[in-house]
Amino acid sequence: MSFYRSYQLEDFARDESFRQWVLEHEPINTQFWQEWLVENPDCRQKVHLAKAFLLALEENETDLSELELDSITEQILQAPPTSSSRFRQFPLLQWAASILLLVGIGWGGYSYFSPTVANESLTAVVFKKDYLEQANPTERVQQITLQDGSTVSLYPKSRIRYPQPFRSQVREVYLEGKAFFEITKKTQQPFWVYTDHISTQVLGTSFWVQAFSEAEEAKVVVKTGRVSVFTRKDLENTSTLSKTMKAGVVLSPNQQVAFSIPQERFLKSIVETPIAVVKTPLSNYLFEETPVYQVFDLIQKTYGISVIYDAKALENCFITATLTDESLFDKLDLICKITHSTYEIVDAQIIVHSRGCK
Amino acid sequence: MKPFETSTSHIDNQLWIQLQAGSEWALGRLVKKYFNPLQNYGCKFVPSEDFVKDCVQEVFIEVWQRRERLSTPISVRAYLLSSVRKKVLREGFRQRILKDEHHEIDRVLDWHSLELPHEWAIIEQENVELLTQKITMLLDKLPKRQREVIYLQFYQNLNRDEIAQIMEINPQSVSNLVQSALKVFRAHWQVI
Repeated sequence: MSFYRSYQLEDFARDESFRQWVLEHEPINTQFWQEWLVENPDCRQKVHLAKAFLLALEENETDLSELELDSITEQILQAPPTSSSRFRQFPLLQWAASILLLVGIGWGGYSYFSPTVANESLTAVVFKKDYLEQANPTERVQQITLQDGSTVSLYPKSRIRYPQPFRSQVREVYLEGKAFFEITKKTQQPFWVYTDHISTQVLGTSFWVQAFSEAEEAKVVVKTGRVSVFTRKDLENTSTLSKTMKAGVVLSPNQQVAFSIPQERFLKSIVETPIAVVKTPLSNYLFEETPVYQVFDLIQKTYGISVIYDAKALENCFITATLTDESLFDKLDLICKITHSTYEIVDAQIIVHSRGCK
Repeated sequence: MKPFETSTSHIDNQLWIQLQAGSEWALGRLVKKYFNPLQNYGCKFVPSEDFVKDCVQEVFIEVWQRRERLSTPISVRAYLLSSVRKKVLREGFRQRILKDEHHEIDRVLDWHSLELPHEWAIIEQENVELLTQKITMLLDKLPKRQREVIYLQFYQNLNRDEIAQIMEINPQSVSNLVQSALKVFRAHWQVI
């Protein structure tokens, strides 16, 4: 890492690896920097100075424990709606406006300020005859059965339009708001859900689509099967559906994608509570001196989520534990604790970092 | 070998999206990651732990309760810092804990008038603890806004535009503040 030799105080202070050593005592980077200092003794002065600089800025006046932070989280979750909270003097709208300013992205068609724009697009997309429209003004989810046997659970404040009957090559519906779809499999007649900004294509599967007109984000969450999600823009630029399409995202079960409308960007992640996609006997989750990579492989199979790890770093890690009842994330937390590893979720995959076991 | 780096902002964005989808788990993660740093930052404006704790908690409550309407910020860290800063200043003024000194015009500091012992420049055999104390003393002597800019840029690792948004000043002023603060350090330690 010879480029570090030319680093100045500012560069060190902003270097992610350096920061993880000084501020978080992250083991891999700590080892790296200790070795680097041995190899570059002449840089000792400036490294020490940069380290002291970061530490001086740290000034830990307060340091709440994990336990205290857990109880704070509880309080946040249980806080009464904003109107009755401690600082009640700010009008809600003013707060909303300041959020917009900070985030620095366009407010777009937020219905607060442009109530007329928001409702137009769905109508504009399909102003055709032979279309049925169903809206759900109630507070409850409504069930709709389509003529092909597929069912739609339409959430409150949502509406859907679809041709009656479907065309022969393709089943198309237009959605505003949120709905859960369970689609009858028809390979020759793909099912499309269009919303203002994204379109979702499926063959036979179940999934949620959420695209409220005032929101800055549209979302698709997959329960079973596979779906492809595209931006409307990209679809419209491609003359026929059969052509290769760019910028699509393929989702499998336990995955979701959020499309940020102002940024025109997809962000793929794991659903909040992943469920088993392959029936796995509970006894498979009793581990006794089991190599940890086998545990990760089992998780990958059970939940259909990729687990990426460095097999070499984990070769001496073994686990004795019963992990039958925990949620996926609790399982991962426990396994990582036992094996001195950490994990992160990147692009709907679980990436395990380990410094190995002895 | 390239040292291990995690793209923390990427993870933050994932957590934010999960929070927006109603994940209490993601909220808990963000609280664990940011509550302490946010409280420390808030204490730089109002040195009252309880008051600042309430403010930070209030910011999280608002994020949680308004989650479906919020968009995903480019930097979750910058967004939270900015919200806490606003909240602390606004509540501080409202409750008259804070006087108007934060809007004071930056003092022009004459560095030569600072009486720092000349051996400060000798760091060769010094341990990091001692050096940290010295830098802390030096930072305390900086005008408030210079100190804040240094803190946001180097401790919170934010970029110029993010800092400008948080402090509600223009990006060029951020650069100027950073440069004048760094000048002090350069003057004292040749190696920088």
